Amino acid sequence: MNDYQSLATVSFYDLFSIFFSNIENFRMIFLGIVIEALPFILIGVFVSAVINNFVSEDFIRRLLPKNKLAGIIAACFVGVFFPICECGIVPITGRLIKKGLPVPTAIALMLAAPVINPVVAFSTASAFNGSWIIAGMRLSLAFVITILISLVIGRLFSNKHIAMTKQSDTADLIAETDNEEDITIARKLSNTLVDSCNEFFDMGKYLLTGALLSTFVQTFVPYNSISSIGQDPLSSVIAMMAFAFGLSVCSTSDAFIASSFASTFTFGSILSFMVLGPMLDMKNMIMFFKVFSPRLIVTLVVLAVFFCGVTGIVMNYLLLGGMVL
Amino acid sequence: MKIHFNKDAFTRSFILAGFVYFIYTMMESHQLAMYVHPRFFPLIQASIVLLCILLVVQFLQIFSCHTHHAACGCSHHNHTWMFVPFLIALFLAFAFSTTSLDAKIVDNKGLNTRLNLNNIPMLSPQSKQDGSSIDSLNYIELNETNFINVITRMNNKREDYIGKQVKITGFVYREPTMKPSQLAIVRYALVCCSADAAPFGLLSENIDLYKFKANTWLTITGTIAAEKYKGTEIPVIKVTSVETVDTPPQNQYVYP
Repeated sequence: MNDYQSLATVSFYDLFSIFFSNIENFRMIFLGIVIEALPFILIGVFVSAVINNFVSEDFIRRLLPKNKLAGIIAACFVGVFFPICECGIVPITGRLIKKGLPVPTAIALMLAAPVINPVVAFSTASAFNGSWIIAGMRLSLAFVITILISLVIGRLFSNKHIAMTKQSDTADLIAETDNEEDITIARKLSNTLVDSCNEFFDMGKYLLTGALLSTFVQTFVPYNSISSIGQDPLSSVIAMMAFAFGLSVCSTSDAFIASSFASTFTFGSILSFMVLGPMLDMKNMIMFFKVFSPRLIVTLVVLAVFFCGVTGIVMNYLLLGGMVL
Repeated sequence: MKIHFNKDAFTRSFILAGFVYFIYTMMESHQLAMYVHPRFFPLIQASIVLLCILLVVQFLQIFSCHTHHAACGCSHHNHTWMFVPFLIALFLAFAFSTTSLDAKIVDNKGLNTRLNLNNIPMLSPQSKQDGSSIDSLNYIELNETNFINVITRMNNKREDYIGKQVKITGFVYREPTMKPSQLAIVRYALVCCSADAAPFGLLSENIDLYKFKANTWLTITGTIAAEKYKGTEIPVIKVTSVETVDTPPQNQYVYP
């Protein structure tokens, strides 16, 4: 009993002293991630708030073609003109479905807009030292996976009522901008600023928590213990996808976290992280329950994890097979 | 409309002011480059402006409350715990001073300690070019600006550099796979931000090198040779003279 106790104390003390002898390095790495991600999260927050107040759902809906596949493909590119991050897109998706947008098209919009947009392309390229190849791969893989998921969901959930949650929970999401015409420009501007503020703090806490976890891993987890997972073509992909889900970092800045793992994890797993992260994460899932039925959510999660995982693993085996980028 | 003290808006203003002050002082004291690559500076200046706008918005909300706006900070679920990550960040920012990553992180064998003796991962092709003038020199002094360029060229065109004299300053870094007569003389290369800083340098060899401890700053002069290390051929300095550096530079990074 006594031995056991002293052992526990020693190991706790060790952890404590390791932590404090490394606090300066911890601080430098953490603040480095935060300062670098800051401009991107701020741009995302401001743009999203402007859209929330100045672009009507009607306008976006009118731009979408009527044909099913064409609609899905078009929805994938909405983000190019309206870069919305994954947190802003869920309520909008719910709103659009309520206004008569087909479920697969709305899903495509929700999955693609946070990845296929200029802000993400720019921040990904910046994070990987100006590599537009990596940014291009991320965006095009997200495009293909989004189309696949939307088509499968279109097959399985033809009936809108199966796809939607039964209670009219979406009402409270829509309530914010009911009488759009009545609101003056000045009012809209001030609402935009207030929204930016709220979203900055809402997103900031996920970003900072993610950065803290990431820094913790980088500073204290011995390289040897994780390098075997990180270099394994299969388990590295699974680990990075779990990480993407748990991290819940905004798509505008997650590339910086991904790039900090680039030297320790396989390239395929980094790609899986960057494609899955914006589609599916912890904070997103909570919002899904307000919009979709549980069955649709489960289907969505399974499909997204499956396609992103397969993509990452295939990429790893291609690279192992000697394919050079 | 009732006017009351909005606690959340106050906390938010405090946090925003803290961030603005921290980043501004880092920029003024030229310490920002120790956190992020200088190419991000214009973006960071822009974010100071945006943060100031948010600060004004929050500050105005402290004593007034837009009762009808659903997204108003005072009307819904703002639990105190949501500020914890921000307060931790501010605590770390202000409680300690800015340093370069040091050998502690090397000793700890953290994820950040992968030695690059030949190439920086994902180095953009542009930075590998425009060094052809270096190829023709017989004596090369490595400094902050040419450090990565020269080492990358030495690896790419090894045969052109064999027999040339070099002078390099950096700190001592050892891996278990090195012989006692070997050490790497390295600088941390910062590709994007301090999270991706990785030791980058040249392997050096001399029978007397065993006496230099890790993290000691040295200026080494010697001749380039090619040798196998961990299965790949890399440039190695055959050391002719060693000086210890008493005061290492405050900013110890090199930027690709």
